[in-house]
Amino acid sequence: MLEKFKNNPKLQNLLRNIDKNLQDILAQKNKINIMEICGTHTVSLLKHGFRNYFADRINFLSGPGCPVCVTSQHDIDKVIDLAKQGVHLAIFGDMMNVPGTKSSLEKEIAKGATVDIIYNPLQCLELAKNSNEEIIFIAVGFETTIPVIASLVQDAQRMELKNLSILNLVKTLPNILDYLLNNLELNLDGFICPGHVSVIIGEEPYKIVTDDHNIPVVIAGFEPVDLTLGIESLLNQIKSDKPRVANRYKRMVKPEGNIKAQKLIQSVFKPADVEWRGFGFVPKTGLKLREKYRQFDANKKFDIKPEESKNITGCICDKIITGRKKPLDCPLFGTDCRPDNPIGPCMVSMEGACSAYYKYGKEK
Amino acid sequence: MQNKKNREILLSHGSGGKASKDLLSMVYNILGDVVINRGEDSGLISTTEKSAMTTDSYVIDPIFFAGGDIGKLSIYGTVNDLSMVGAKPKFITVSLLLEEGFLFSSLEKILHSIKEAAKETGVKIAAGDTKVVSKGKLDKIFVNTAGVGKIIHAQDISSQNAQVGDDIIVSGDIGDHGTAIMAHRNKFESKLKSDCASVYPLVEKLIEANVEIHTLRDPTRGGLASILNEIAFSSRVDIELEETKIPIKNTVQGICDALGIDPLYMACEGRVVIVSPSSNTEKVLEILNKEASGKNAAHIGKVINKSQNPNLLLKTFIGSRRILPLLTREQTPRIC
Repeated sequence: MLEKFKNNPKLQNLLRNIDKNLQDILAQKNKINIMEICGTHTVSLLKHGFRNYFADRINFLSGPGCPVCVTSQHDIDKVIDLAKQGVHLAIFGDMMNVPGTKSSLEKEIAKGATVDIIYNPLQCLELAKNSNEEIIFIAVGFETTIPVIASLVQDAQRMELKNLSILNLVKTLPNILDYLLNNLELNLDGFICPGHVSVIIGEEPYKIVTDDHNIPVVIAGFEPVDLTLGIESLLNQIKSDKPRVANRYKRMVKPEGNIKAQKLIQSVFKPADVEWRGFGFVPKTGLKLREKYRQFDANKKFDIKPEESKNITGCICDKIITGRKKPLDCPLFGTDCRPDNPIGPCMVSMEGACSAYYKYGKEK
Repeated sequence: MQNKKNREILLSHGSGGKASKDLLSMVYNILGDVVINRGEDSGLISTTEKSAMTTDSYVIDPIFFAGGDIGKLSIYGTVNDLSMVGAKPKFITVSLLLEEGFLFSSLEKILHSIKEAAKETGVKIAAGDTKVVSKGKLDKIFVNTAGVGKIIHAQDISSQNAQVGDDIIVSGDIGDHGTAIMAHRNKFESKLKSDCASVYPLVEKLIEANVEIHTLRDPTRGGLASILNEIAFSSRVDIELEETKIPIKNTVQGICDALGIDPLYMACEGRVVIVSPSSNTEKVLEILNKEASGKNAAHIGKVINKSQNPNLLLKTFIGSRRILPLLTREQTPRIC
């Protein structure tokens, strides 16, 4: 199954068709700007050599899709402030090294803070059950991760766990694209939309991009064949000037998405205005816990007051995740800011654009 | 009195007194005739030939894993290091560092593995040691082995000797060991086993067939991509791999994809990478493919040019090219 989407003899034919289509399109315009939203797509495009392959023809821009990268500096500082309060944090691994204004979780651990890296939010149930400490799950993620976080909250209530809460920093996708298109001049010709998020939300929500902004959308998977099919679809749409939401990840994504998961999310959360790195507060691009789950809200349970947050001097992560700049535009990239010494979140997270460029993007 | 099943190593087993003696006789009992030089402070060995010597410490967690355990690993690992310079493994030393409270039953299992692996690879245990440290001062058991082997060829086999035009061949599927360990740690259910084994038989067959070999390396820590980076750097050459040709099990690829890690950087414990002139490639593959442990051997790339700024390159599935860099940190699972 995997083999079919990685190493497929049809790939070369597909690429030749794309090359021909591109030639036609580029006869009319200079360059094609395509934004990939998901961090996993950023990695895949580099890892499989797509950026090099289309180097002077398609300009790939990274969008706001890496959960750690879009978390605002103020929210990072809140996480660090919690760690200082002697509670027990449960986090996804990528959060560990994100620099706050004055400290990072890694530094707080060295001073004695308790932080566990988990792979599945439901691991927090066991942690809380077997502990007298206050357990706080740092809930970052998009629609892919939110159903599991919703399950965690529901299970915690069912199990009557009094010592478990979440610091809710989740974000939701389609409205941020509308906001981005309304507020930034990026001249985008198409979006590659994330396969994993789309498994949950389906095709419909992206119509805000095609119908209101007349920009092509493709939902794509992450293997070489998936991405090739995705790019092919975008180019066809650009050429025919008929934007629509194309689904090239049908083996995973149903048009209506996963309704059960959508309902689960709605039963625990309601839409909220939340703060993004690079954008500030954006209406209805996040979620907050419904009233009946408020006892699981770490914001209500703890007095979280970090010192004043400041963005890191010289770091342009806020511009990178909004497509305004690329990692190689950053003066700190690869010199002061490296995966072993990250200055901004995009170099920390494995799905961050800078970390992906550092690992895969050097050209030869 | 502890019952036999739960009997634990105590600090007194490291005291030099009666308990130490009991532990030692248990060790001797299990290891049997693979141990030479019993009871002396030093073991006597005689070598008049050109020899190779190496040492390595084994701290793997978990100590028992699908396809092996720390005992087996500590013999094969050192045997493989000797094999990488074309040496026939002859003698080995075994030091066991034990945590107070470690189960005798686990130690027995590990000793049996050591014995089996030593027998299979033909090495004699020429010296050994046991130490016990108090609880929490080390994690269960660490093993150090050192090995001596006899050089069985007159070639220049070295990481510095990869030459333009050479082919890169790997003896089997990559990433099995590291991925099996990651799967275990993350409680994945899979039938994947570590490839933990001696590669000496393959090396011996190649040398006996008079194949010209420029470099041999076993892709352990850091996997295939890391050791090829080292070879490129040491030999001042660029190496290009072809993604379509690298043998990776679907299970390994699947688990790595799920964890967001790259199998090209996952450790193998029973594979060898051979750098050899391309005129030999057919012969090398024929020899390897005949053996069970080499049946998936494949020609995966070549040394393309000399370079002052050496790189390992990957020709990807879509035919594009990118650098396969040295890792700057451990691979950790992704979050979305």
